[in-house]
Amino acid sequence: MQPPEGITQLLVRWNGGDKTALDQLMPLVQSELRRLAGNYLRRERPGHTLQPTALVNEAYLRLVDQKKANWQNRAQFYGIAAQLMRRILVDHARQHNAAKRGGSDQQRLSITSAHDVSDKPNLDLLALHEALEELAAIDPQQGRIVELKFFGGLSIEETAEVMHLGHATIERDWKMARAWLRLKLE
Amino acid sequence: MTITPEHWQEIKRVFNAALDQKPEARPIFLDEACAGNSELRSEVDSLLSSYERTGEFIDAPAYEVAAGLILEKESVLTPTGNLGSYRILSTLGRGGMGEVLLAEDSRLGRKVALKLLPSSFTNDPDRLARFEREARAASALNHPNILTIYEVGSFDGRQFIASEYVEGETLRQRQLHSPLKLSEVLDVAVQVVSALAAAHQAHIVHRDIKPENIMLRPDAYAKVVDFGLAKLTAKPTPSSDTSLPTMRQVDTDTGVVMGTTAYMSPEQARGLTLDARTDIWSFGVVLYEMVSGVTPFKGATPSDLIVSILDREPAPLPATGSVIPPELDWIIRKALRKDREERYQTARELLGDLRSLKRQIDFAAQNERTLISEDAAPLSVSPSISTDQPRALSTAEVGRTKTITHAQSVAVASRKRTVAIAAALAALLVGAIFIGYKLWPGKKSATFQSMKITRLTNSGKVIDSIISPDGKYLVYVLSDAGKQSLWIRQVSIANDKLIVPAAQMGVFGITFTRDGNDVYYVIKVNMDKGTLYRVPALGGTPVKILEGVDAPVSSSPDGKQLAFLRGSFPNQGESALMIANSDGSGERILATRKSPKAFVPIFFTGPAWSPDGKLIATSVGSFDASFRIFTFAVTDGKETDLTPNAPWRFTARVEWLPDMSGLLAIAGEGPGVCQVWLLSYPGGSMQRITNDLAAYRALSIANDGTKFSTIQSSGLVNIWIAAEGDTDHALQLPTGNVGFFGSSGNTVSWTPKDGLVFISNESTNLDIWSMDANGENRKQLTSNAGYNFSPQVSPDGRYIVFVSNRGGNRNVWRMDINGNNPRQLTNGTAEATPTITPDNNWVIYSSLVGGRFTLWKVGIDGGNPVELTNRVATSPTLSPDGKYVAYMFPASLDPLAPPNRIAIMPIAGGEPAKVIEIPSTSTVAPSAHWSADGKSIMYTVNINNVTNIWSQPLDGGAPKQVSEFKDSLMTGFAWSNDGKKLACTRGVLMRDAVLISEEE
Repeated sequence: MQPPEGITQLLVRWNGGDKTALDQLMPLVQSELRRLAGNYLRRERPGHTLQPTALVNEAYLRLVDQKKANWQNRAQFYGIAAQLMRRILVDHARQHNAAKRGGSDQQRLSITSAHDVSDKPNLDLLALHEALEELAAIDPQQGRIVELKFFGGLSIEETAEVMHLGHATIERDWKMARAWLRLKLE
Repeated sequence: MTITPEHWQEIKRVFNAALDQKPEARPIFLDEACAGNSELRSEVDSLLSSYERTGEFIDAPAYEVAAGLILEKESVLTPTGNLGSYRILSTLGRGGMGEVLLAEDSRLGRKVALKLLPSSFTNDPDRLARFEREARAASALNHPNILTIYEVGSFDGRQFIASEYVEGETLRQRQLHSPLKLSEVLDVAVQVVSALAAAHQAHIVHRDIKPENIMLRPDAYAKVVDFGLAKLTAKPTPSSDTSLPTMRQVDTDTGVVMGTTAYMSPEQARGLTLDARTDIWSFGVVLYEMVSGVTPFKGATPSDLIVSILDREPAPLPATGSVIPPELDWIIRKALRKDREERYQTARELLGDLRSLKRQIDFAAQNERTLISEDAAPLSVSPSISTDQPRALSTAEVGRTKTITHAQSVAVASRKRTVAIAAALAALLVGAIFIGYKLWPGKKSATFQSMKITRLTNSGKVIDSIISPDGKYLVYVLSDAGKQSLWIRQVSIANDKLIVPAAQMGVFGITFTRDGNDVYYVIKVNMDKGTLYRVPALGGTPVKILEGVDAPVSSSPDGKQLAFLRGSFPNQGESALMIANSDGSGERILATRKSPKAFVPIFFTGPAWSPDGKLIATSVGSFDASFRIFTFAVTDGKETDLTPNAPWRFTARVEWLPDMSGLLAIAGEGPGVCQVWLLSYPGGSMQRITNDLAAYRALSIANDGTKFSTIQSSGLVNIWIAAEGDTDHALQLPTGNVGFFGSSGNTVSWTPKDGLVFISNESTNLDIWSMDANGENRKQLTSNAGYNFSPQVSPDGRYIVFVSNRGGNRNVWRMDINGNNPRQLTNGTAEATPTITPDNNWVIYSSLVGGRFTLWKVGIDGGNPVELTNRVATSPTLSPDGKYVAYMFPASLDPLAPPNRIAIMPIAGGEPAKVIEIPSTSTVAPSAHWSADGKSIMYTVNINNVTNIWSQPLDGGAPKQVSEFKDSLMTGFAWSNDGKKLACTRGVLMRDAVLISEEE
């Protein structure tokens, strides 16, 4: 693991336009997220609701030197984290499906079957992932909002802060994006 | 449904404004806001209604689930540091097959894409073994449009594949940000299908062709990734209960999600065994999507989608900004036939059609440019670089006629060649830099890097053509339903106009007058003497000039005289090169030839008067040696052999370049396999201009020397099997077009185990192949640069004897049934049509000796050949008891007359015991076979361009028709050893006028 300063440096470099910095950032953030997620699950009971943004916040605090970082670094970090969360989820959903291949009664992986939270509607993660890609192609801003909120776990306020947009805009885009995605997944 | 960002913004505006209204006020608000735009209204309506029902949908963050997911699998990749000798640089992406990393191979210092397979994968030894096998097979693929696999290996228990790193984006990404133009669609399509063709030839099926698996480099190179890997994530065996609705199978199948389902073939959805044709389907979907932006089959859920794939016809291509050519629509539909038997059978077939269409479109684009600058460079031809292979739209069902509504032009672009050269150069550089440097023709003229072949007609029935001296008009002969007619059109516009109406005649040569106002044409009725006419090029009353002209004439530069050929003159067995005044008066002999040499008028030969008026060039045929090109001085007939060292066995039409720096010539191994060559003058060096599987004849060059017209002919021939000889229910085998080779001999032969041996030009050479009688297990048995044809399997199934020119001459060869141990059995000048005696000991064949084909035999292991008869004889076939041999021979002494007699003589040789007369078969190679019961001889008969098999009982009864085909010519047939199954090759011969021009 690289020292925390490394991450901060990379964020600063990335912010300065160095694309290779992101390539180096991703694996670092990813492994930290995985590690934290694992820790959380081991100590929490299944079904226990995590604090929103808890994972990402903790990762951020752990990895980024607060003295050297600014709000933009934070926005970037949350963006990366949300993207990574999405990848982790989608990848595991695919692997899950692959592992269960051949069974007679298996469903595609859904949030409910993975986590046994029965009061939530069944959600097909992979279908959502694809619909979101389509959405991002026609409206990148809405795509990003959904990614940050749903995959990154940010609140409307945090999303607004990270994206440097007004609450109302985020709120409205979020409504429309949800309505559209829901339609796509029907 | 694709929504443009602009349209989305409009929806967003109305949607947001509607949300600001109270729900009950919304309908009225929307009526106004949408102002009659019903599409917008319904989009906003459905969004609003979805919004009302949103509930908790994606309200809670997903990542709380992620933690659970992560714990399910402990194996977490550490994508930093090193993996063996690979240094991980970054993550490129993730897919169903695992994570893809960018890494550097520290041994070679190159960047690679490293695909790490999920650990779930590694836990199953069977799958692992399968993976390694497939991945290694795929890694053997070497094609510019297939992602190169460098290494398949494992490190620390992680399986990985190291491959070429491609910078760029996937086709999916590309489509999301900007739609492709038609030319780009075809460019990508040709590349992808070319990759598929190469993979399929190596028996590797992709199984998961979709936009995500096609990478586009910034330089417009397309690369197909993940060859052969999809199978590994798929279910090992199809569900045993295939009658169940497919949705469950699909739902439970791995990685099969919405995105992939859309590209799934019907057979894939049904869980059937897959073959290469599944890729053709999937690519059809990709092509449809590239063109229209949407996929052809729709469904709200995967199961609905599957139903649509299985049952519904693809939605008509939506109208988009650019016009979709009907050919493309046709191609897509053919790729998307639900029944794979009706689909394109091979990627190569599909490729042929895509290329043709691409050429048309390139041509149209170039045409527009050419109109602006008309001045092309002169034809300082240095055409050693071969061209792409021009082909007709090659996959129409036999007999299908395309409707021509506009100019169907085909141009051969030079880009591919550049690519090939670059690839070749790269290979040389890697292999041996010094040799590479020497071989590279770096000083080749840069002004004539390439030429363009433009198809001018598209009926497949144009047998002769000439271009006007100004290069603007094309006059051609259309041969249809036994009649021929003469037409003129502009080169650039297909405004065809009839000059001489269709009649039962043969047009034996057309020539423009030097001023381009009139056309000379020679017609023959019933193969008698030809008559020369002259008619205004744009139509008018023909004027008879001269009788006894048997080939196209050539005008002197001043237009006052004509050179022509006359057969059987001055005596029988002789032929003459002659000169007359342009009104037909004052004819005189310039030179004569006596058999076996001849000025063979029937092979589209003809004289060419030199631009300086002093010489006449023409081919001189020889039936015991090579054909030659001679010049004869106009004043005294002094002759010069221009081709003492020519590599050809056959030459036909010649034409002078206007500056007399050389001659164009139709030449090659035989009449059916000629290419266009350039013969320098007076130096005599030879260079091939065309290099493809088509055959060329006719030549006519425009005055500016930058373009010439010729006739390109190619066969569209398939293999058919009729069980129990029931030709009404004959089945076409999935070999695709095996081509037509203008030479006699077997095209198919049965093995004793009911397998088939056949000839095909699929390999781009003529080769012998084998397969099961159902078309499976197709295997190429010969693979040298030469022609290999006329195969015959020995009765014991051990050997195949055949003719090959790999040693220079056409000789009889033998190989094991599996293609091993080829061995040359004879070494004469030219040999043909070998067959094997029932005792497996002797090969009977015909051999060209003293200008005639006679019958010989040689031992199955070689040895000294023995002549069986000194009569003219070809195509021997043996009685089942081995006591008699039947052979074909011509009724006339003319060495070029078609063989229309069958003689039966004792195997030991001697006088024929019996002679059977059969109808004269014209263009298609005739063949005869002894029936399995020994009681009759079977042979082919053409009536109105339909070939059927007839049977002549040996007891003297009347001949009767055996097969009942309603269309197509037959190029060969064979009955299985038990006499029950008929295999035959049938199809059409496509002949069209093309314009070959220098490409700037």
